[in-house]
Amino acid sequence: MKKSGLWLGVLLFFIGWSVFPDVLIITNPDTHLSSLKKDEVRDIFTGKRTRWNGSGKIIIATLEDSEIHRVFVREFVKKTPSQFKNYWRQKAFTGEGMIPRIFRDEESLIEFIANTKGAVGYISAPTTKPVKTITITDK
Amino acid sequence: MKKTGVRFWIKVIVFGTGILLPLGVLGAEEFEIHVHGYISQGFMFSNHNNYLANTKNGTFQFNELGLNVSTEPSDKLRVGIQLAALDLGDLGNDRITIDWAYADYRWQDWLGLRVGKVKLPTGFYNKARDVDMLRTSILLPQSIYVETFRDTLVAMKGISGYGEIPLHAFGNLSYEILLGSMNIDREGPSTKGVEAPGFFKVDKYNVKKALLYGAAWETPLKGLRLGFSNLHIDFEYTGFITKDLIMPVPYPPYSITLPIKGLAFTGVTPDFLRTVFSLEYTWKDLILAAEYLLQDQNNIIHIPGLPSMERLLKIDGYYASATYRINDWFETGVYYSAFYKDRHDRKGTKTPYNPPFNVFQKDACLSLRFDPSDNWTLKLEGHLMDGTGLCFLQDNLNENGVPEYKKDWYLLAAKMTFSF
Repeated sequence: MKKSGLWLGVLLFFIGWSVFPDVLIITNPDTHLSSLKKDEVRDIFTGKRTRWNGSGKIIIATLEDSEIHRVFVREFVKKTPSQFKNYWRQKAFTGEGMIPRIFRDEESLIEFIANTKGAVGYISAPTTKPVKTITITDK
Repeated sequence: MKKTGVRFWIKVIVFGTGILLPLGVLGAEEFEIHVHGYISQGFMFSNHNNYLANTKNGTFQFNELGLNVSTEPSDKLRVGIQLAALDLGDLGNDRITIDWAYADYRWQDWLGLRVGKVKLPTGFYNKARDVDMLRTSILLPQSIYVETFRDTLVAMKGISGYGEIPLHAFGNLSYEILLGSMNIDREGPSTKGVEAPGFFKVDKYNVKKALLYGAAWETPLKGLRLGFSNLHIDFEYTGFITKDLIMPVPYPPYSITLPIKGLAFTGVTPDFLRTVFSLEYTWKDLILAAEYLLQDQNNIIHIPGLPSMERLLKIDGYYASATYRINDWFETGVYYSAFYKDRHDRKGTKTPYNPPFNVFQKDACLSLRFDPSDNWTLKLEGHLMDGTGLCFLQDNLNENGVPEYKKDWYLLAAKMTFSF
């Protein structure tokens, strides 16, 4: 019984691992860059970096609480979803920033990024829509 | 703040934007307006000693509300204002004030300018101290975030420079420098502190200058953040004496009475200095934090015809805290906080503190936070207190008008917040 429980745990661990979504960072196609480091992504999504090099203002697009959102904030922003939410709420309530746009699903986020100059966001699977996928150089 | 004050800041925002418009700063074709707000209602009860309010009987005079509007008229400019009101015993009484209001021009990420009323970054959590749902505990550690000095420490009006400097392999450095003045509320807790000896009635304050500079370093060790801030204030206050001064002579029961009641006085604090060192470490759902405060202030009272009275206060305090997010609904936190009115006499044996435990206040706190939805937050917490260094004398007089304190006591607090 104990042995089968152990194997079940191992199996669930690997199943869990395999369904852990990949995170793709996407931007509006007009953005003049093709790669970023993870720390740069963190700086963008925490509002420390607000401008693209030569391409104007960065507009952050985020997703509602979901698996991809949880993976993204943990892996790239180094925060838990609640810490990330609280971080931006703190900025909003102290006047130091405006809470980024939050989208219900990836389709609407992709649509927004495709049509908004300077926009950046994250998705779980490649898309054929006119957005640019950014290479993460230190993944 | 008076209504005229509110109008003044609205004018600052409107005219500030009007000045920036012709300079070409405003360039966006359309921009969003964000509106956020919160409303909190709390309850506090203590078994001994009234603290911040009439807590011995249990008090609901413990509420806050705020509403802010902000927008980004251009890529580099943001303007906003937050109106807020609070009630905490004698503090606030639900008067609407400008919590912050400024135009923020971010020229580059490493240099931005804010003009208006700006929140003070004295300690990592001071800027957000008015907004309950942004933290785990109901009361922030009182050694650093002293509610009894709150009106002086929340915000200043003036100009601020700030920025983010990437240090690449060495992390990231953010800095902020503020220069200006501040409004000290004549009916606020600072006045209560000045009036505590029972001799003075304060009429008005004049803050000549306030300067704050601070920095926070996100170290290469992921999750570790270190910071410091220095706040200098040069201020004076005027008022009148409420009692004659009775001086004992060596032959009791005789004494000399100086008829000073009704005389005007001027209080001067030319070099108020408050330094806070901060540390925060975040590991997954666990946040550890510690801060240390050094505060020096030389209070000089001038009464015409009498020698000046001078008192140098050398305060310090510290706390260590841990908070843990258990799941989407629950978060818990503990902290231990210690505040000392005299860092060279932590037991109150050398200086005339009566009773000696009035020189310190130590606080062991356990908090539980429940977030049933994105908009609602409920909190419960208990404090085991040792000492009464932050309890106002005026709140702890017995029926004969004599101060009455108990060294060991507890405080319970509950709070519910709605925010959007």
